[in-house]
Amino acid sequence: MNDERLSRRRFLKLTAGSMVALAAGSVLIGCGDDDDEPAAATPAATPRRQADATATPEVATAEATTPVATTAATSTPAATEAPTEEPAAESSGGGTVRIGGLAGAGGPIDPRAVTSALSYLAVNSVFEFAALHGDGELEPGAAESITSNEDATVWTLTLREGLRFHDGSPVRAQDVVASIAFMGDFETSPTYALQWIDVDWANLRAIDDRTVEVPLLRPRADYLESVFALYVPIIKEGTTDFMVPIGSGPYKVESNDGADGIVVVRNDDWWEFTPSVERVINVPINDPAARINALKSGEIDIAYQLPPAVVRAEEGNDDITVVQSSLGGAAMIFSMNTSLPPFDNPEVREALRLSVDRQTMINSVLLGQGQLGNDLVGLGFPGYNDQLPQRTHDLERAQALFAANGISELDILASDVAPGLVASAEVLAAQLAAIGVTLNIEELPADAFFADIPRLLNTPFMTMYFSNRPPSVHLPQFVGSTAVVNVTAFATPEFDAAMLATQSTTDEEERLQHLLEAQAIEWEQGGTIVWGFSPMIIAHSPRVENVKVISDGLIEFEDLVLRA
Amino acid sequence: MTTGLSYVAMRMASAIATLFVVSVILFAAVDLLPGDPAQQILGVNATPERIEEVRRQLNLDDPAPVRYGRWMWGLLQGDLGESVRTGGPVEQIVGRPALNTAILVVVGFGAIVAVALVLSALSGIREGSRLSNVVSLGALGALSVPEFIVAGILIAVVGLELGWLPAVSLVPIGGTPLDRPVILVLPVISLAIVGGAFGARLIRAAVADAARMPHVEAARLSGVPEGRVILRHILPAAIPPTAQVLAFLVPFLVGGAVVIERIFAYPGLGSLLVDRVSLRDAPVIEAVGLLQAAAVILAFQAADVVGFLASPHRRTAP
Amino acid sequence: MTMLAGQGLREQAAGQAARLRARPARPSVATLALSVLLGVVVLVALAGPLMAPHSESEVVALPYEGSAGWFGTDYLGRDVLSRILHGGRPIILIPVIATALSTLVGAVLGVAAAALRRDDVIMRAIDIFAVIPAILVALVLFHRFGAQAWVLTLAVVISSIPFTTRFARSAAYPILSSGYIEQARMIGEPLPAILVRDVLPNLVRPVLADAGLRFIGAIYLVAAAGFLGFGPPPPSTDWGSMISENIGGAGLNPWGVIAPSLMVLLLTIPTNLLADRFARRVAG
Repeated sequence: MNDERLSRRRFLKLTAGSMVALAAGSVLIGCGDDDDEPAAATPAATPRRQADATATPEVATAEATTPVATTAATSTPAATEAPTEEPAAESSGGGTVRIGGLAGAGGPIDPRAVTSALSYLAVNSVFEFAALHGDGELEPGAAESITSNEDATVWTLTLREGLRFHDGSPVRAQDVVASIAFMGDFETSPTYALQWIDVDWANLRAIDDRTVEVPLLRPRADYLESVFALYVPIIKEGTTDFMVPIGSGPYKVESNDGADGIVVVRNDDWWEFTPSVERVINVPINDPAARINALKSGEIDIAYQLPPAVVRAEEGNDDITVVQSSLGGAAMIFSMNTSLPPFDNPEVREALRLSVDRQTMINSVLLGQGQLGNDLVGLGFPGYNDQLPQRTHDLERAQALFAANGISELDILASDVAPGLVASAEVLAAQLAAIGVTLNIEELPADAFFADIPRLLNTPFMTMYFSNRPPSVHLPQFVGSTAVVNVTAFATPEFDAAMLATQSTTDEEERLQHLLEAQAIEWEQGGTIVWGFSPMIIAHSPRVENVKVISDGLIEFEDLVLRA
Repeated sequence: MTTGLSYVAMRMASAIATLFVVSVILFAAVDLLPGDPAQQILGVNATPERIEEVRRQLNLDDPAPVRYGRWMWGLLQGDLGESVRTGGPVEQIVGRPALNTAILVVVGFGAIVAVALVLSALSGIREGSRLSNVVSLGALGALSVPEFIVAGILIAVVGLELGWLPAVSLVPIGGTPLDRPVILVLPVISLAIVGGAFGARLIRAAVADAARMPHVEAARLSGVPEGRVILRHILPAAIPPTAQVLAFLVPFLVGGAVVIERIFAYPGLGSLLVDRVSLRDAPVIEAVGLLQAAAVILAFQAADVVGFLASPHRRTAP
Repeated sequence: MTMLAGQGLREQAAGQAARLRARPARPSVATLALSVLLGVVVLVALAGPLMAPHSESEVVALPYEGSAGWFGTDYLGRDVLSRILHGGRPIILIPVIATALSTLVGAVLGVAAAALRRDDVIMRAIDIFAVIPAILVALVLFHRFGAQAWVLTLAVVISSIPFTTRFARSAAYPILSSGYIEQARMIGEPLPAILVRDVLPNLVRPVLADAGLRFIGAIYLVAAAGFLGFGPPPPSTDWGSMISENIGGAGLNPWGVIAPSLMVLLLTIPTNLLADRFARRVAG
């Protein structure tokens, strides 16, 4: 996959893509970060070990003293001496790329409160992240190494040398401490704070300028893959204003206005290489049809997030290239609340699982552009349980089960928080009608879906989506009694035990077994029907090259190249 | 002179009273929006204590009249407040979109008046001729097309197929639509076609009524030349009702532009309103609503004043 | 756009009222043809569900399949023709109901304002309706109650009332201030009797003419709401919603967009022309 240059494939949206919207706009509330500054006393340095050797060949190189080598074809060495004002002496490329996407309401570029596709793209390009999930492997970010002690109770993060923020100041270990405290603060970052609940805050500290020690309250062998490599944006200590935030990523914010969108310019001092395109303008275009029109009439270069019809409609059109995410995209889900009738009855859940004709769902809703789901999130990622049989529909048995339990009518709450979800409810209604069950659809506007959380958690049946991410990342957040948001209210002692073992066992093979077991329990008894994976679809003009849709549907601006 | 001044003063008082009542209704309407803003701001994992704290900071627990009073007190001091969802002063959030919509509305208003005048001239003053019937029938038919269909056809044909004009109306970064007036053409045509049909119908009615007034008949019978009849008698009588009709174009343009703004991705108040209603961003919604209401009131007042000036001997219909 | 047809013109109404009885209705060929066309469209809309080959939710083929059925399939693979036949009712019934309601309320308020000479109170109150941004109210209602038929109806009614009231008042005012009625009032005839016997019969035609214009506005509003995504709850649909539903696949099956657009036009153009003719004839 990394044939040309190293892509920083990564997963933002720590709490599912959908849930990110919930954390919107906390600026008014003020930033109570840094409240949990570490105390001085810390345990003596413990022996480090190579953490997660199978999954992190690059990042977790213990005792590494040189930066992880990049494979970037056009990379330039990190210009540690150059002040930011000075334009790059010689930089290939240049020019401006305009991306049209859903902008929501604009607002700050705040990693804690990603409110729309455009602010998501901006956060991704403006901030550097500690480490990143790639397509099946971890990839380097600001951290040169992330390692743990023998029993996975103390993690040590070492920064690369010479990293600088956009204002020229060095990225220090203290900034990483501040970033962790910032993201882990329940007051200001409730969406992400649960990730950090195991941190021994009193002893979190910077050992020197480049080394941070993160002591934990319990063993977490999975911490690298499920926390450090997930969403640790490096935020300058003391940052409070996120309208034009200072990051250390490949692009700097030039302007951020609700009506104009977000303009970023390349960071010539970025550690990995100098991005080719000088300026990227993120233009707010909320209507998908308008985005395609804008692309076709040359007003933008990239149309972000398009309906699947565009793939077939633009076949053979030389002026437009359609690109899809390779891995999963969004897991398209029917979510049954296992604590509410009628879905507290396992037979009804089974009946529904057997009613869904997943392939027809993909053919109709996604126009065939998508991958078949097997009721689990994480397809294609390490640790995904692909030994379970593919769930197929069995209308006879479903009908018998529904009849046996006296079910002839169901209600579903549907919302296009991911395009196609309402359509999926409509197709399901047609499929259920065939076996004599009426499905009443209540539609909520996409932007209103998350406005009433208690209601969602008390809705027996609804459409839902999750970003496709490794099961070790997804499950602890959304399933089980310790989940951040347990959408299906599914929690059994067996599942919890398996999940706990996954997190605390340091033996890789054993950990994997627990993870597979947890998935098997969820698959067998849970309330999640993953009928398919909807790809992120974008289209671009021939003017731009090397447009790649990476995991979580992102475009890395630094990859883009303008055709001469 | 005194009557003129007191008339204007009375109009102003009535405008302010109207705006005040509208502010109450707006506030109450926005309060109807579902969901707890504090919960929305904090997300799913917020602790109940934290939600309570934010509710306190936003004064959500106060009774509605108290919150209204606080808001109004701020307004009177020129403080529109801050967005509860994205932060930042409301005037900053509303400013650019308001300017963009104002430009669209003013240009659209001009275009509608032009279309309406041409159409009504074709049929208004001397009704019944075969030509005027055919023309107005054809025009009216063409103008019966809803604006989103007009816009769709214009985008497909003029924007994409012929490539003459941009298919979307993106405003230059940091600029106004006037920096690139070409982006206004298709949205304004879409607005003018529907608005023009309505405007023409109303203006035609006003002019036809004016033409039938007794003193016009009298002038005609006493041998005053037709041109003079039109200029001296029909037009002055037609101005007050026409001004009223034109004033009613403003609420149509201010509110109705939301469809056009969406289709053309034009960054105006309509799009802002749609976004902020779904975010339940009360201060911004209320500011946009007040702004729109004020624009409409201003248009009504202007129409009244025009009517008053055109016929100083009597107070025109409200 | 419903806003527009507010004919708050006292002079015009006076002219209309004066000419009411003088003009017998003699429909022209064009009027007849338009009426027939409109009748067919309304019939298709109302009886459509009975004629549709498929239900509105049945998936009959792959999405945007141009060759299936008359108009091919929609974004989910459902029969476009069947959905056209199912999707006419809301776009006709909601405007009819909303127009009836707003005309009725407007007539009552307008006549009351004229008869009681309480212009100041009633008309000021009505002005407030005209000033409140209709789109904001509609959005709030949609978010509060969902895009249900009654919400849409209410939104249309609220935005129409200022105009129907103004019009009714303008029409009633000259009748009430005619010497004949003044005399009747002076000799102590009760106001309700005057209203029923002398005023209402003279109001019917101009108010109906205005209602025709309101109806067009209501159709536009309902179609636009559908287009903006506030149509009937799925799997139901209306012609406005169908346009935006299928616009993404316009390149694959253009009929998904063209057919509902044509239906909207077949509804709005004859309605508009007929209402215009009627209004003109009433106005003389």
